[in-house]
Amino acid sequence: MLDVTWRKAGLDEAPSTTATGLLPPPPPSLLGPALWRTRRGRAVLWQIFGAVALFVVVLVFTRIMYANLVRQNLNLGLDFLNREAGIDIAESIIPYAPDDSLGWMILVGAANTLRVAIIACLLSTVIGVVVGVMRVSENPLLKLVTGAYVNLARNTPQLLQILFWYTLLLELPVVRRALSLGDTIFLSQRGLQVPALEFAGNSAGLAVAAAAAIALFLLLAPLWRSIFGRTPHLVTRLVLALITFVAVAIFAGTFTLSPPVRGTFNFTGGMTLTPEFVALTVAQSLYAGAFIAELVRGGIEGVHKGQREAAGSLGLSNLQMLRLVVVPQALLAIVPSVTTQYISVIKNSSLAIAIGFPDFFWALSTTINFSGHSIEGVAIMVGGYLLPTLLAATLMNRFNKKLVERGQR
Amino acid sequence: MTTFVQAQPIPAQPNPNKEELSAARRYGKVLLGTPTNVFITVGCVVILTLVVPPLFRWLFSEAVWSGTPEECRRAAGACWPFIQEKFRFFIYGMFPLEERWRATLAIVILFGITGIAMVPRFWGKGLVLAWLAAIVSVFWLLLGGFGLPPVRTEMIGGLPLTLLLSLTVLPLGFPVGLLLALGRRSEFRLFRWISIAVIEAFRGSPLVATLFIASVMLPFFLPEGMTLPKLMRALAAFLIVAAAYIAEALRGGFQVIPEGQSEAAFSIGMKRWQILFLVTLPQVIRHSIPGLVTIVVLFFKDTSLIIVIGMSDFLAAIQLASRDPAWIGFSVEGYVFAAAFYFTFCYALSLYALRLERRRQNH
Repeated sequence: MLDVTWRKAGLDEAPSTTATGLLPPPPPSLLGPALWRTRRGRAVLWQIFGAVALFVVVLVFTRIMYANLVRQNLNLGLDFLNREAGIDIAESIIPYAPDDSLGWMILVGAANTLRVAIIACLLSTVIGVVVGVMRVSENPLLKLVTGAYVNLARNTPQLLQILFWYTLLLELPVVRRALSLGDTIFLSQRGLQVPALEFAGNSAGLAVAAAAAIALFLLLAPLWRSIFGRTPHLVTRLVLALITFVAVAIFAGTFTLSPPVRGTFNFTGGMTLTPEFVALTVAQSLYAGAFIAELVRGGIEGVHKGQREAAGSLGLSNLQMLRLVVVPQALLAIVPSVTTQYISVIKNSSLAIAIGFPDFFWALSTTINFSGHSIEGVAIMVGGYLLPTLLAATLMNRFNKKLVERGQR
Repeated sequence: MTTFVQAQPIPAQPNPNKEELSAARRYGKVLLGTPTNVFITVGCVVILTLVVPPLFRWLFSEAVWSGTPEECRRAAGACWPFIQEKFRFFIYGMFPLEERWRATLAIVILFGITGIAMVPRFWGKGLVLAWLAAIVSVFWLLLGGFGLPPVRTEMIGGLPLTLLLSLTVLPLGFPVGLLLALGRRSEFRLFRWISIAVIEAFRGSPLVATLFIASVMLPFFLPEGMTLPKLMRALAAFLIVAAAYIAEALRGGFQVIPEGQSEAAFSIGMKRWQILFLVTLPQVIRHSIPGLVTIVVLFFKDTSLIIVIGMSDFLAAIQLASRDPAWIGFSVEGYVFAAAFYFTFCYALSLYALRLERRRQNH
């Protein structure tokens, strides 16, 4: 007990008790005990020491870097982003021409990265949830099949998987003999050809569709309440409104569905997903999907057996048990780790460089090689990757907090 | 009035909830017991018959086992002579011919020390020294000098490079990782902030980007006249990233140790560093070992990314070999071979981590 008292008093040794009686204790200093005698004082000293050391290190390296910059005649600045890129990019979802600026090229790369990351996140979630639930099944055959997939995908390098899918896609038949699914989706050497929505220029239809969607959004809440007796969730309303918008717009002829038509050497109409894009997206989805499947399995198995038994004895059906007892608790355990998986999907899109897909990393490394402005380029690169990472982390943390609160209620 | 008393003991009844089924009946029930199970079983059988026989034909029965590229092109199956022909290149990369025994020895040492480190009985001070000795001797064998003819770092490739980057990074990064983990727990705000910034920055940016940045940026921070070979730049990048991951793995371990332990140690008069090295750290490491093994698996797989800065490890050597004009068109075989190699090593390590985890939970 005594030790704790003097520790709390801020001294790090017990006050000496042996010498009392011989000499009077020294009078207490007006400034309190010396700075290095107390924990707080030492904390201040250590931090000052650390700050000085850090400052010196930064100063030394900045000086070296400055000397190198001067010697190589480089100057810092973001002007190089306005220079003409002069490189053609095989695919972009925002308009791009070789005479656009380097800065625009970087944006094109970022858009490509985001496109892959978003699709791969969605697909991997679907794969992960389905396979994860299957992994808990008692059926040994199902366990074998899903286990083979999960272990194979988790224990080989992602780069290898990307290269493998890419090579396989390039070995597919030429356009004339493309594999097709009901003559609307084609798979060939040129990638995946899918039907596309095209804007037909009918803005009246667009207005009608928007009006219909807004009306539905506003009217849905009272209607739903009168039928089901409770207010619909905001997400439900938004999704239904969006579906209405797209459906009405297609019906009114604002958008036309353009199916791909097979030619001799290439397709006309539809939308081309290049082999690079398909390989990258497929590899990413399968890789992340395997990891998410294991998380889902862990989450479901983590729910205590007694909980299911209790739910059964209350008379809940299997589906009710899953929905009301197992899933909420499993989600609580899964969400933080799945966030990490989404973040690594964004990060790992950078492997696109191995198959020449023009992503954010490709655009920046090309820019750096072209302009020689490596310091600025690297700064943009780090910032670009940390931004979505931090954003996703914040969003998912908030979601997680909500889940925890709901669990405690 | 007659009373009836049971005279014979009642024979034990089987537990109605735990029907003792024969193995065949049990499997029958799980496979075909309910309509859902029948559906699942049929689906699995369909998938297996669609995938397994063609795969088997490609891999084995229709494959070419020895011969020339022309014979391979005529056959429908895989071309294994390609692997046989290029095997030495996969393993050694561009390593000088007459010095290959050194690369072999380095591979043996690295696999050997990893194997020894997996046995819990050997965990202790001796193992740390053995690891250090192994790392020093591997660097000496591969780079040369001190009596061995030196090898240019650009010549190091293939399997030794993969192992060098993945298996030495963990012990080398451990001290830095420990410092970061301690910094993150420090009561000094400055140290905490620095550690968090370093950990999050290196975990948040892609390894590809870190490698690229290291290879582009490090020369800027070197004084005039000093250069750093590409291998060392890559090693530095891997090291700091590994340190960030190790710090996170150790953080989990630190959180498990109850506060009372260090208070007890303090009360018997131990100094702070004694508490850390004698009380807390041994337990923290024991708790973090599954996480650390997972990091080894991660780095074993991700070493392949150094291809982006133009170095050729095991996977890159396979890719290079499949560009040989004589053997063009057989890269899938190379990738399958690589997958088998990586899978064996990583799956074994994953199982090992799982076993350690289970053992820890049982204790």
